[in-house]
Amino acid sequence: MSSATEASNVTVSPKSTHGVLVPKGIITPAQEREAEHKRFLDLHKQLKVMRNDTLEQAKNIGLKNQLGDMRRDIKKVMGQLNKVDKTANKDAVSSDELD
Amino acid sequence: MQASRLHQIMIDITPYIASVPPEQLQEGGNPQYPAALLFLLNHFAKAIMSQLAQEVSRDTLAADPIGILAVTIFSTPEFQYNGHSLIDVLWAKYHKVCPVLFGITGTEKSAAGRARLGWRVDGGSEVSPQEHYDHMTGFAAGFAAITLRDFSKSRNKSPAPIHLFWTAMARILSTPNNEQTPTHYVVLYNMLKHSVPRFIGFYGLTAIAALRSACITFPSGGGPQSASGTGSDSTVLAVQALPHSWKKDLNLTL
Repeated sequence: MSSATEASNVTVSPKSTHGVLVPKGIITPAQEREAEHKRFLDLHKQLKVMRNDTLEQAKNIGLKNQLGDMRRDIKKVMGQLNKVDKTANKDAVSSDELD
Repeated sequence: MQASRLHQIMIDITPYIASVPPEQLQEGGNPQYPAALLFLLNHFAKAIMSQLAQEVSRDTLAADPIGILAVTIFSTPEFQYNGHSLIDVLWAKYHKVCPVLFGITGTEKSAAGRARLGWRVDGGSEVSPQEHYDHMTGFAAGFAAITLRDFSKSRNKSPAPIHLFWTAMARILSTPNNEQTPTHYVVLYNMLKHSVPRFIGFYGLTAIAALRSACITFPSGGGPQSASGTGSDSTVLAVQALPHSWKKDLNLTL
């Protein structure tokens, strides 16, 4: 083994034993996509839990009905968006609870 | 409702901003955010997706005002945490229902593959292919309407910068011929159909090269076959025909 190879081994090994710093070259774009995808799918699940927890806590402080009303208003405004008249959209959104 | 009421329940926002490293979010201490506001932004994202699936799937031009509303809300400083938009809440939903936008592939010939492609399961059974493609139509048109927005005159930063559109397109176009599905073609078609003037506005000649790559190079291997097995699927032919409609409507030659 040449001394050059030994020298490079010394600098690489501490990284690999920690297992935190993975050399960027060995992560393929496909792995990167899968990891990103999984992170967002996990977030999607977490959001479901958050919605239930928030409603539960809102109930305790008497906020649940108002939250429900606002949620319905959001849905209503979304259904009323006009693809031709953009000024009407501005009015619909700002006159409601979204502001 | 008074904003102060929304602040009565606070929550650690770290897990809900997936695109910013946790250390960066926690720089100023424990990152707290009103849970009620997060709850409402989450429902806002859900309402966007349901509108895209139901309305935009039938009329893709209706995507535009939804895109404007989405970026307006997610770029509003009052709804952000320390300058970070909460738009990951919307992207989480997008990853769930339209994974090909993020470079995920799967076969349409197995239930597991269809699940990978975001094929919806309703009441225990999968929706029909037509319903699936309709959904993809709405989500893809919506994605273009959200990401291709000009913030150069806005005081706020874009929560959905245009490079997301470019990345999604590049990821789809890097799918090898044998992994291409009609889902890919439906998504690509509807991302591009009404986006050309804005896409060229942002990227100029590079956009034209990308469009050529999408409509000519990408399907050059034939793509998925039609059910009868006599040639390319109709979704492939639709992408190949896009340049003709741009030539007619926009006088654009690729």
